[in-house]
Amino acid sequence: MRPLRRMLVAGMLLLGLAGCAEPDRKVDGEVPTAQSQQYLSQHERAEGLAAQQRLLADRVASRQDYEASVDGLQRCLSTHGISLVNEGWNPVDQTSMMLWYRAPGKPDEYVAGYGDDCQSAYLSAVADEYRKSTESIMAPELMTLTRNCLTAKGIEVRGTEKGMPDLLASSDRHESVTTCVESGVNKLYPGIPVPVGW
Amino acid sequence: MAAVSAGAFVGAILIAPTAAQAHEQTVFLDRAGCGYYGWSNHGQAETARYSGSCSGHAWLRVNWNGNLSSWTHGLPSVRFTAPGLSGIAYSQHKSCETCSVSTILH
Repeated sequence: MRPLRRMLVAGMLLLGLAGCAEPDRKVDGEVPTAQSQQYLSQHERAEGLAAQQRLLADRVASRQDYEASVDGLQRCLSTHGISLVNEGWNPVDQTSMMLWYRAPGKPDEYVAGYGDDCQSAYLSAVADEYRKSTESIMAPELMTLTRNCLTAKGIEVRGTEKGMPDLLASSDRHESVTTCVESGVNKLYPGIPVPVGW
Repeated sequence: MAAVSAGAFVGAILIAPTAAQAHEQTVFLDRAGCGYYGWSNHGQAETARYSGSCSGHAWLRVNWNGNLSSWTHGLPSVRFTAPGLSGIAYSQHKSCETCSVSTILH
């Protein structure tokens, strides 16, 4: 075997060993998928769905409807010993709230199970309707930082963009847009985990 | 966007992991002819559609600093960057609201 080839094979073997040392971390079905909807009682689920139906009776999901649904979600979680941490409206699009479930000492499966079930019963339909009917508008201060960041990278912006869709439409450098948005998020909301979707 | 995501994905699997990136992993999520992937390390997590034109959003949630996020989604991509680029205990990924979930533990 030639030296170069031998080195390549040795390198591949080493990488393989490194991979073996790190166990396969894909664990489908072992951790909380929590989509079986078996955690809430029938009564609890019916109560939540009825509340959403009432809010959507006018076929419109308003910001107030969303917030009322989140209140319901919070009550549902609280009943089962889970705290809802509400970080407020996502500044990237302002069409959804950044919600976290917290229950120290409780198993992940439990938290995910009740989290998903409570969200499905009390919030999902209203949240979906709100997102569908609401324009994605970035928080003004975040948009300003994002525009400045893009300009500094030599990427032209119109100055009239309202949200991520506008920014992405006016630039073919999508990675730069998302990087600039994330940079702005880090500056404006330090310590708050903000998901960025596009 | 698909090309960018696919490029990032290819880059992710071609770069050999260093010790600091030891807990980085990618999972594949196939759906009706479309390709999605989920990826995460301790500081970032992402779900994205990298091929096809399915309308199903990319869904993501993470357990960060002991708290579990609710599901968040985007099309074609959604990304979560942890403050301080650390603290993600696991990430979960799916290619539509009711699709099966793939989990990456860290």
